Amino acid sequence: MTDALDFDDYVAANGRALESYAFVLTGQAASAQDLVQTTLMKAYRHWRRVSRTEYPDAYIRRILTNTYLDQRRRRGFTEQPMADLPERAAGADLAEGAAARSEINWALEQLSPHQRAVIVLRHFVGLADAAIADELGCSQATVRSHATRGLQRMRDVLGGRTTDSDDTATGRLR
Amino acid sequence: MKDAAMNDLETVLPGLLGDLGRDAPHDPDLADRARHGVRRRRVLTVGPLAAVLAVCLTLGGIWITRPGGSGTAPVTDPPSACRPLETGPLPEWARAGFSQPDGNPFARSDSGARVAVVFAAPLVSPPLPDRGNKILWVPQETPALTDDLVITGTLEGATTSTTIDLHSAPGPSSVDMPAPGCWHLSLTWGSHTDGIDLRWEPSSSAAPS
Repeated sequence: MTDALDFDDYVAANGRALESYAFVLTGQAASAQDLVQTTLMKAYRHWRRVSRTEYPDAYIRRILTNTYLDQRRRRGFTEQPMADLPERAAGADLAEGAAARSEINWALEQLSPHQRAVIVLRHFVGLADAAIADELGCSQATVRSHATRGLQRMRDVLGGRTTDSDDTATGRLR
Repeated sequence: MKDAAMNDLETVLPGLLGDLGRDAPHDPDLADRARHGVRRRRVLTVGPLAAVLAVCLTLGGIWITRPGGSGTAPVTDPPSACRPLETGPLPEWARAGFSQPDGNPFARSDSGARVAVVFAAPLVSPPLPDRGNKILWVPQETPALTDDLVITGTLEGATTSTTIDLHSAPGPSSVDMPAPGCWHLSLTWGSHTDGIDLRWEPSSSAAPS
């Protein structure tokens, strides 16, 4: 079996999951596609090594997560979260519908990149705090701190109590 | 919606994020695009080198086939990820503290954002008593002081691996590997990861210093 075939098989089986993860992480279709593309290019360059690792999924997801965080860091703090949700769908059922997805995405945009990564890894990917700490290269206490602050921020904005002065939303905290 | 969000966000979040994930755009040619992207980048970076190599091979072929020239094909080792250390000037961002920018050989990391400056080349395994395998890891971006540099080495062609935690030690660090060969070093500090390939020669091959 050639490396190229292995790579194709892997992407065919796992590409959609990567795309979903990238989309939840970035909230934007174009950014998610760029992120997946960059991640797979990095993985392909070292495919022999990547495919021999015990958990290639975790390895590749880690590349994607760190690429996302690096990209956000490079963009610096010029990106500010929106003060309010445009065309907010009052009364929409959060469990269903495009309006609800838009609203939860908006709430995620109010988080710092690390808070968002922790929330997504914990509640979308389903990782335990220890695994998240390993993936982000930080302590479990830091993971718990990001999760607590992130969830509180989401509760605040989803509950209509935006706190624009809260610097946790501007990415100043890791 | 506010009630749901306020009451138990953690309970509903997996379902909501799952719904959001299903909206992700799908590219049916993901693998092809990644492969082509890598090839395009290789052409851009390797193209000029390939042209130089082609000229060298042509001149070499002329030399070998000339009357009286050696026609014996050289014996080559299997391809390795480890390339010879660079001996030119260090990248500008890595020169702080060096009086001569080209005084020490070095290797670049996979991303190019970190260099390993080797103070006593070649690196050898096992280490010799009278010289250390001193390496200075120079990042392009200054890491947080709390970020330990953790190196996990995997020996090419084997399953041997070893992990070294440098605890952000300032200055050059001694990096001794358990066996000679080409090692892929996975570098982790903070949320960053990178890789670099370095060769440790057998101690017996090192010239006495």
